Amino acid sequence: MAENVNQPLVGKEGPPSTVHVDKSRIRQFAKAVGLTDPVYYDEAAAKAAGYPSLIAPPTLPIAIGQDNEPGGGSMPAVKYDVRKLLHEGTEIIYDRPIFAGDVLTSKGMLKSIATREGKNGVRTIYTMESAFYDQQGKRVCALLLRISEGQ
Amino acid sequence: MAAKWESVNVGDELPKYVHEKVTRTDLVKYAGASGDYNPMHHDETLAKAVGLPSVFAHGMFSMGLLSNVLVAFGGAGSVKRFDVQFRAITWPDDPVTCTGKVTAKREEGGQKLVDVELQCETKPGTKSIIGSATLAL
Repeated sequence: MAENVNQPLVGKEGPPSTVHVDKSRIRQFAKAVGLTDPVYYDEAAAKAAGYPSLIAPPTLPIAIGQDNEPGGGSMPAVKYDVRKLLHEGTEIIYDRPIFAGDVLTSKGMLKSIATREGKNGVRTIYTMESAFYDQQGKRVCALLLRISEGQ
Repeated sequence: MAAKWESVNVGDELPKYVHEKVTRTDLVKYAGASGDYNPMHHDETLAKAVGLPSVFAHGMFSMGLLSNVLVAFGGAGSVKRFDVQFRAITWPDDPVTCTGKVTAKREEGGQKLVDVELQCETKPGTKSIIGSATLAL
């Protein structure tokens, strides 16, 4: 089998990027996944629950890469055919919750490329790893994404 | 009210969350909120051109629906780990039923933790997600 064109990316960390976690994004995301707790929408409710501001929905970290400051973009530019992609799995590990007002730096890389025999032939499995850090350099959360590409 | 660690038992069921029917509008909302503009989730013309019956839901949309089960049980700030495998595609008009069950409780590093197993079911018998999570109560 020909070597995967993305092989040179494996194990190389991309440039770090910065994300300002924003109340509007939290509200929009919470609404899109059906969360109704006011701690996702109402600053007063969030504070009454003991949080510094609105709290991020559990799966928001996967999405906030879109809010990178210009020049950022920590996820590696893996080349694949979007028509053949399936999301295989996601793991999110939290060291602490994320809140509106957090300024986070993310770093990520393509961790591995593997293959597996699927129902309709061989699929290529891309495993992406990334993590968000706070302004003191402490890790806030880590993400693992597995995406597969069919033939 | 979030569950209290002391009163949680292995085998307890988490509050069920049901999304009655996935609509294309749901998928467009999720695309916008997440920034995931893979056209297979919103462009019906393109999806059909590659032989699919229609667009299909983002895996992360279903994982987001499943997060309702965790926060209803443990509270918005309780999630320490959330791990899923996507096992089947979710299509427009599918219902998504999200459930979970306590598999263990333990104390670690001064935290009172609960491990849970999770799933999303679309058509009866079709698990679109299986997963697990750890919550700090």
